[in-house]
This record gives sequence, C-alpha cells and structure tokens, in this order.
Amino acid sequence: MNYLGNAEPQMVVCLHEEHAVAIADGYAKVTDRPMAVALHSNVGLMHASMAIFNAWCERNPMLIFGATGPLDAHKRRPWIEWIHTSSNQASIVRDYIMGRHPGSAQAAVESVLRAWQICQTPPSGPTYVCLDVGMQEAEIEGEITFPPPERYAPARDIAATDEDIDRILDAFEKAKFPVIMMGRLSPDQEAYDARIALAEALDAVTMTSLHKRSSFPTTHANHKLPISPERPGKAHADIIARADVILDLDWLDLGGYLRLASGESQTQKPTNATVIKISMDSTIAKGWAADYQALQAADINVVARPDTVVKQLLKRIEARGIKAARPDVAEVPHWTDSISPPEASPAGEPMSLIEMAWVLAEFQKTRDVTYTRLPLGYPGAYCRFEGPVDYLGKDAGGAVGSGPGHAVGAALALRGTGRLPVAVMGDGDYLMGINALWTASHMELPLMIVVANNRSYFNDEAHQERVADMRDRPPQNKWIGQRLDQPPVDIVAMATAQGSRRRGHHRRRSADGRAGKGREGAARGRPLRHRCPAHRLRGVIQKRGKMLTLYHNDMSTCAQKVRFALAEKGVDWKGQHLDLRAGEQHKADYLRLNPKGVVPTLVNDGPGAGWSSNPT
Amino acid sequence: MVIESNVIMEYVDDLSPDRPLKPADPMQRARMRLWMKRLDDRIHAETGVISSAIAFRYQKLVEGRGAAQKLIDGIPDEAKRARMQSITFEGTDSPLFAVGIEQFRKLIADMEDCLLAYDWLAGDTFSLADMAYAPYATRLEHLQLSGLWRPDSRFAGWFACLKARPGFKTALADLFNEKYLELMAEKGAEVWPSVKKAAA
Repeated sequence: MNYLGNAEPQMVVCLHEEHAVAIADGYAKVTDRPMAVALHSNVGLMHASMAIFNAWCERNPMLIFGATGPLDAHKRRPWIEWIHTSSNQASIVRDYIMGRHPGSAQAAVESVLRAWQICQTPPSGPTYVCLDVGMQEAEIEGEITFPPPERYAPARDIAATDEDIDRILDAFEKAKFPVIMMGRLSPDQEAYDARIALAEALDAVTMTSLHKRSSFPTTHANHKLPISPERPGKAHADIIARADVILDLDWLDLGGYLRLASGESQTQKPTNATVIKISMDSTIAKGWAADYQALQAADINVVARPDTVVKQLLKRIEARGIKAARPDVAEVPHWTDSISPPEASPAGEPMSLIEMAWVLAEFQKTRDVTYTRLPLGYPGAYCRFEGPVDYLGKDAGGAVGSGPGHAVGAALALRGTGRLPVAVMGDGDYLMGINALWTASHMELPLMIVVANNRSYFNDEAHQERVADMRDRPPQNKWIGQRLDQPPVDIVAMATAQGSRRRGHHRRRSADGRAGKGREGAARGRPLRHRCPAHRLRGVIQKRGKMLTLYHNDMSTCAQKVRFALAEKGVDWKGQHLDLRAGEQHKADYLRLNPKGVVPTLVNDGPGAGWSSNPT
Repeated sequence: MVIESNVIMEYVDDLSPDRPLKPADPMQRARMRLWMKRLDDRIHAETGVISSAIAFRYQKLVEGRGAAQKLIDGIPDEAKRARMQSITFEGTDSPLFAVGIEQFRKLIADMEDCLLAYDWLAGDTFSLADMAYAPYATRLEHLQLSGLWRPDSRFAGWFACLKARPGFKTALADLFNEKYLELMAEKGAEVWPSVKKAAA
C-alpha cells in the first residue's frame, strides 16, 4: 500500500479494529460488496471479533486480512512475535467466517480469489485470510500472475426449480389474504423494483421489519401497516392471524415472530397458513451460534436466493397471465391515512423520541436521506422508506457499539451520491463506538449523527423492570448498573474530540423554530455534523458560598443579560433589587459602588476577589 | 466590585474555566465582543428611546408634566437628559423614535446575515453575545415590535432557542414585571400600525 502511494486501494485508517470491520459492514449494507479490512495479528482479530459476528449475522460480504507468526519459531523476534503467533489463528472466529491460510505468494493469490468468491456467494459473509509473517518476508520463488478475477466470480443467481415456482403460484391463486414478509434482501434497485411488481401482481399484503435494510416501500399501497418493530404489536399480529399464505423472503426469525404474534410455538402449534420459505440460510448453519433462529414450519421450502426467486416468479406470472385483485386485501386501511404530527414536548424540556422522529421525517422531505441506524423503540409512523438504501437496518448481531462504525461505513459508500447518511442512535451505542467517528472526519465524509440520549443502557432498564415485575421486586431499582450519569457524559465533546463539528441544539424550539432553523441548519452541507442532546445546566462551579452580590433591577436589559450569564455559568449569587423609578440608583451609597448610577453592579466578597475599586 | 454589564459578563465567565461562555477560537471571540460593543455603542441607548417613547413615558407622566420634568432634570448626563425630554413629551412623534426604529431594522438585518452563516452570533458556540442580545430581542417583543422580523427567519429561530434555555427562564422570564409587560403590550399595540406603515 505504501508502495502504491495510498491510491487504488486507499487505506482508511481507523482507531479500533472493531470499527474497521464495522465500517466495512456499513459499506456492505449499502453496496452489497466486500470491503477489504486489515487486522493486526491475533490481537486485532480478537478486537474485531464482535464486529465480524455482526457481519456474519447480516450475511454481509467482507474480505478480512490478518497475519501471524513467523510460524517458523527460529525466525521470531523475542516476546512480541511469540505472543502474536497463533497456531490456528482463525479458530477464534472460525464459527462465523470462512478462513484460509496460504503458504506461499502464489497460494496467497489463490486464497484471496477464493475468499473473494466465497464471501459473495449467497449467503454472503466475512472471509478471513491469514498471512504468515515468514511467508510475507520470504523471497518470492518463481513468477506470480494475477488472473482476471471475473473468471473466479461468485455464483449469484441461485434459482428455484420450475416446479417450486409453479407450486408457489398455485398457493397464491388459492389465497384470499396472502402476506409477503420481506427480510434480508438485496439493496439492488432492480431487485427492489421486482419486489414491488411481485406484490402488485399477487396483490399481497407486504411487511418489512425495522431489523433489516429497506426492502419495500413502507408507503406502498400493499404495505398496509407501518414498518414492524422487533416485537409485533396488535395490528401486525392481526394481519398475521388473517394470513392464509405467508411468503417468507428471508424474514429474520419468522418462527420467533409468528410465536410472538400468535402466542404459539411454531414447532408445537404452527400457523395454519401455508408457509413458503425462500432462503439460502440453511446452507451455512454452523451450530456455534443459533443464528439460524427458531424453526418454522415451511410447506414449500426453497433453498434459493430470494431475489432470484422473485424474478423467476414474475416471469412465470406473466406466462400464466396472473393478475390478482383480492377484496380482503383491498379493504384493509393503509397506515398513512391516520398519521398526524406528535404532541410537542414542553419548551425547555428534552425532546421526546417521537417528536424527534417527526422532525427527522420532515427533514427527510427536503433531501435524500439514508438512515444508517435507528434506535430501539423508534416510531414506525415516521419511517417512510421508499428506496433500497433509505434505511440500512440494525446490527444483526445485537451488540452495542456498532452504530458509529456502521454509519461511517455507509457514509463512505454514499460519498458523492448526494445522499445524507443520518444515524440515529442511543447514547450507549454512540459512546461505545465513538472513536469510529474520527475516520469520518479524517475522510471528510458527510454524516449526521443524532443521539437519542436517555443517559442509560435503557434497553436493559426496561428488561430489569420486566424481571422485577415478574419476581415481585421493586422496579425502582431498575437503573442500578445501567445509568450513564453522574457525571453525565459530554456527548458533544466526545464527537468534537474526533474532529466532528457540533451542530444544532438539544432543546425543543418554538413551534416555528423547530421546523425552521433546525432543518435549515442541517441542510447547509458542512462536512460533518452532530445534532446532540447536551447536558442540563447545573450549578457545578462556584460552590464556595454565596459571595457574589448583584445590584440589579427586574426589567433592566443590562441586568437581564448579566443574570443570563450567571445562570448559564451556574454561579450562585444574591440580589439587591433597585427601584429605578424611585431613583434608588442615584443614592449616595450606590454611587460609591457605581459612579454612573446605573445597574448592574457586581460585588464579589469571596476569597480571591481581585478588584477593590473600579478603575474609572 | 465590577461595573459595566459587558465587563461583568466577562468577569463572571472568567471566574472559572468550567462552562466557558466565550468561544475558544480567537476569531469567534472577537466577533462576540464586536456584537457586545454594538450594544454599548448604540443599541442600548436606542432601546431606552423606543421603550420610553412607546410605553415608559406614561409612567413618568402619570403624576403630571411637572413631576415628569423634575425627574428628567435629575438625570446627570446632559445628552441623555435632552433625549429624555424629547421622548417623554413627544413620544413616538419625536424624531428620535424613527431613528431608533431604523437602528433596530438595521440590527435585525445584520443579525439575520450572521445567523444564516452560524448558529449563534459568535459562530458555532453559544456565547455571551447571545445572552447579551436576549434582553433586547425580548424588549422588542414586549413592545409588540416582533413584526420587525419574519416568523420563519433565522433570527426568530435563534430567539426561540434562547427562550428555551433554562437560564432565560431564571434570569429573565421569572423576573418579568407584569405591570411593565401590560403597559408595553397596551401601548405597543397602539403604535405598531404606524411603525409598520412607516416601513412600507
């Protein structure tokens, strides 16, 4: 890389290996293409392991490079190269990667080509190539050539059989209320459009999940309900209960979702609907992590790439002349018919999540936005996703701390497209991954981060509350071990320390203020922006007793501005109010303090008061 | 003791390095001081002019012209005394009033330009300059002169942000004198149509 002068490829420097992988993961969320990541020996791999697990669970392609050794112990430098040599280095992530260990330069070419091919063959995932230091330093024997990688291209369109396609369409022809559940699908625009055509031709109710990248327009006539949260609410459960055919396009954990919707385990009392499952996922079930999720009854079980099957179905629909119009589907009202702005939080109070979501949805109307992340509990009513990269979904591994890295990776992929990446994340996620942001500053990537700050690992507080309730223990103790407060973390300073720019204000503006300035401010195209809730002001300084006395007047502008500064500084003071209409400011006692006979005057009787008299 | 409100504000900030109220950046700090200087140079005096011309002169006149004259004669500063003479007896017909309103139009236009480029008067950070101007924006509003700016302007957004700060409440709003507010609201409403007409 040094030899090539940091161009083609360009090295993207990161402050933590976990972020390096998270950035590649965020990049793949937008492009479905692998980024290469270099991790330092076994230690870097250990740092990165959680982020690799995220990429694995997301089925995102990635080429990871590492090194070890020298495997030849005779060549090792003392200490460092011994602790940084592992005999089977990939074993620490083996259960969620495909790993290679080449022994020569020629074998390295083979390993990289294979890793590149495997990581993109559905289902995609991270691959790891580990290069022995001994091999890297050895003189090259013989000639090395680099054949065109196209000749080692991954298989992409893994199709269903014609019989399966007809069986699926037969099931739909009998259906009164079919539901298509859009899950882990391609960000490709053509594939996205094909899904719309399919839902329209089959006139099926479609559902998408806040877990996954935008796969279908949430505002489309067939997308009857808002995007589904992780746990289905009543409206979603009702739709599931009415379904007579369910087409599962790699929905995340259909078995678990149906169990929550119906209250029934899907291996005890499975749904009566005909379930059609289209997924490649069973081909990589490993058993280390149960990321294959709950087992769902599948009356037609097709191991093929879902987006390929969608194309096949469309072709066959045309041949069979199917154009469904289902009265039961038509009568379901659309969620967008009953959406209104939320109630405003009181002025001066922190913004509620729902109000913030509304503001962002309004902002989204002014320009192309990609939500790289949304926090738990984000209101579906303000999720209008109408393109494949309007929203990129959550971290598939369910850890905390990937939000910033994913946002930066997405920003890297979106650079130059005119889209603004917007990451809305909780303070826990933000703080754990904070120094990923430095890479965005370093690369001058446009990115807006909105921190929904509740000063807590709040997901766990909610969990503690449920558990306390279950065990009849005091729920008021739920905060213990979860709160991120006392002192509150300076959220903005954390970002500015990474070279980010601070933008905007944390408190609710007036009715016109919120729709006006906030939006404009964010639309002005600075390199990097943050719109963060900041800490409440507290009087933390000047605690040495009330030694400041302010001679002032309630309505005097000059007194008002000084009081404002005292309040913002958090300084305690006591007041001497002067009645200006009665001329108290002209009395001799006061003129000794203030020869001009005006308010205010500040008297500091505390220790260290430097001024005994005025120089004028 | 410390006098001069701008100087006091800086003094308060200098008491401790915590919660800095002045920008760290030298250029932003210079901009902050320029805005504060403008208050001393002109705006504060013009605020006295328009406040008295619209509303407060009635407080002086309530006990008759003689009592008012006596109060004015007691003002030590000669220039200020002359101004008060004209404003108290001529009100908004005083030529000083039109000059004052013009100064505020110019100020608001300049602030709008600044706030198009930055979130706050000094730049990216909330500073003493914003706190210093808060009472003057508030006074215009009390005098029913908020028609001097557009509701969708950056100025309006900036002012709304200021009002939302807890410091605004404790330092200003909590101490508002209801009688003054009533007087300003009543007299201001009478005056606004002519101010608006003069601008058209």
